[in-house]
Amino acid sequence: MLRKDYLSNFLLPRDAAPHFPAPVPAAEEPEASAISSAFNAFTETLKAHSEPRPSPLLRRVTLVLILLVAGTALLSAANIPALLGGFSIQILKPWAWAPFQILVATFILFILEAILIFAVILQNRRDKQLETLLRESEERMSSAAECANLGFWRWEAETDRIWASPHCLRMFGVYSEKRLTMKKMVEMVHPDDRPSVERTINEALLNHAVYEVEYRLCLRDGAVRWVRTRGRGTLDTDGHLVTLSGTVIDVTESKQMQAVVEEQQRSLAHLARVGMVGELSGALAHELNQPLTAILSNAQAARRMIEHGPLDVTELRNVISDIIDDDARAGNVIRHLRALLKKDEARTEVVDINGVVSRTLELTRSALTAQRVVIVTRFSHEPLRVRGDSVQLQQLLLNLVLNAAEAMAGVSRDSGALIVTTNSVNGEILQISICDTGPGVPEGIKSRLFDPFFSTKQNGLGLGLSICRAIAERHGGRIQAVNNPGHGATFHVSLPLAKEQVL
Amino acid sequence: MSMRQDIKPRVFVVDDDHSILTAMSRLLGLAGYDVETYASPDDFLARHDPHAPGCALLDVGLGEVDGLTLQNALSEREPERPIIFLTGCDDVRTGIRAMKAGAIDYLTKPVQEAALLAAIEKAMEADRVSRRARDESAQVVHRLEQLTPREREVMAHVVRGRLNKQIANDLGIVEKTVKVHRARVMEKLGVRSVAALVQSVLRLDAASGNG
Repeated sequence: MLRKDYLSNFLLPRDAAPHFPAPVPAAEEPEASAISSAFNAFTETLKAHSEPRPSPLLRRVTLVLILLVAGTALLSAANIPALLGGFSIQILKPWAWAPFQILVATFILFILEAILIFAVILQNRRDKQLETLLRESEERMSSAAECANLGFWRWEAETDRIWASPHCLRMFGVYSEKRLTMKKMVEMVHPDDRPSVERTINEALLNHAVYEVEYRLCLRDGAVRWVRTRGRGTLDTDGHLVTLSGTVIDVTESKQMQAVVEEQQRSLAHLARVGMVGELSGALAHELNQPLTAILSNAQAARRMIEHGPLDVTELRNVISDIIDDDARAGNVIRHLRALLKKDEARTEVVDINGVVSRTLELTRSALTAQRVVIVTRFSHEPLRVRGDSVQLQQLLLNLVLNAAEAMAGVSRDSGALIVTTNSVNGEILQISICDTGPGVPEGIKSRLFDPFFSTKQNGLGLGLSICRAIAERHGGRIQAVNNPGHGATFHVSLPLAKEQVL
Repeated sequence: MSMRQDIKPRVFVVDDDHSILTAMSRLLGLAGYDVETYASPDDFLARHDPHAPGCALLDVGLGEVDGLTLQNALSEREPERPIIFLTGCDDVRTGIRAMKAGAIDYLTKPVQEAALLAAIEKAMEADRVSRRARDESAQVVHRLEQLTPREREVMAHVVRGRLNKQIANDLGIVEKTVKVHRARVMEKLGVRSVAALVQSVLRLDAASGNG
């Protein structure tokens, strides 16, 4: 019962069942069992080695000492009659060897002892060699584990004792495993990561599976390290947790590398956005000029109304409210622009895709109408929300719309059409389709279309579509291009819909 | 000349932006003009009355397509309508093309009231001048149509500067008859001197392009 309480204190949410079903050996994953048996063998070796046991040296020294005492006693026994006056020797041994009697006995004894001491020394050396071999093997193993940045640990529920490899201890920033308890280990997990760690481990325990989870470790000196831990628990027949063991690997550096790569991708995407805004500058100037023109003319009209003649207050109110509306319109254009130009951390929020599509078409409307391109939107009636960064998603769409416009500009058709469709597939996937009436994608280049630095344009960098793909993939989605049956191409972007449809 | 003073000159505003149409019609209405608004060049060509005096204020649009195309369409029509361009993009090339094609002015959005009204006044003046010229030549044409074939023959000779005696000789009639025809030509055309007669015939020539 104690074990169960312990677990539910540190690992289980309060409402989760603390009683795990009994293990089903047949369900064991082969990889998992291999790992755990290798791990167990390793821990057993180390354990056996570190346990206190009677030293063979001590045993042998004791033996030699006993022999010495016995020898001396023998010698003394041989000597006693001589000491008493040599009577008995004369009675026993009347011949001439009698004077050498002690010498011979001492010599024999000496030889025997020498042999014994030699044997002890030899045995000792062999033991030492074995010990060295074992230590070397252990060192190799732990240095291999250390090189792999891998630490081992094992927790026994009954005693709440943790055994951990030295590297593992170092990773946790402690010097002795005696101080390490499960409570302390849990406390070192970053508070933000704790729920997910607990959830993952509990799920794995319920399924008798191996868990793997990444989390931040807050060390006592204030440092934060990223670690990935992989492990599994063993349960007794009643389903109580007996041990929990696993490996832990420090992934801080790869996390940092990943952050650097992400930062570079963000910079690239930002540069591409700036370039796109440059391309759009004419259209954007127009988008800004329209409301500004209306504002100025309305303001001048209002001044005339005040200066000349009877003042029509209702009309003046209309004029002012029009000015306010147009100001909001200009402000919106600027806000969209700033969002595109800003170099921001990628944010994860729930984004309404129909809104993003509308904003994108607002920004490109003048550019498209100048080309006599008719814009048709077919929005899904239900709200389509995805989790992601709205600026990046807008960049993705903007890029595709501008690409379509450019494709249609090269065609000497009277006017083009851009059809933007949004719909959900099975309520799980969101699909955005951007269909143009351009020349379509030549079959030969279709496979390279989304590759970086691949461009069919004379001055193209070949980054636009590769950034589109990167953005789609970062949002767990994908992008593909297909040619339409008639003319033109359609780009499909699929993204996973956000689970929480209701905000 | 002053026959249409009671009718306000009209500005035809063409822009695809609803709020600009509203604002412009307010401002120009307060400046004393009659304003008609159109959301597209096609709409304007289909609905507007080409004989109404006034000028057009056109949005060039972004791709220099709409406004200039409309300008071409308008210049092919009779009577010609003076045009002021109002553009969102300050594109020199488009401006030059528009001015070469006979635009009154090429203004950039957002436009200052004074510049706009000055351009409109200039366009109205151009419209008035061309309209007056058109009216006068129409009058002359109308009067010429009232001449008899013989009177027209006599007039053609008079304009060429021939003397009555020479005309009588050429046409095989007596000089007195030439004098009578000549007097009736002057009367019907409403001129008092040979010089005035020559002038109105020349103006007609200029207006219709050939004799």
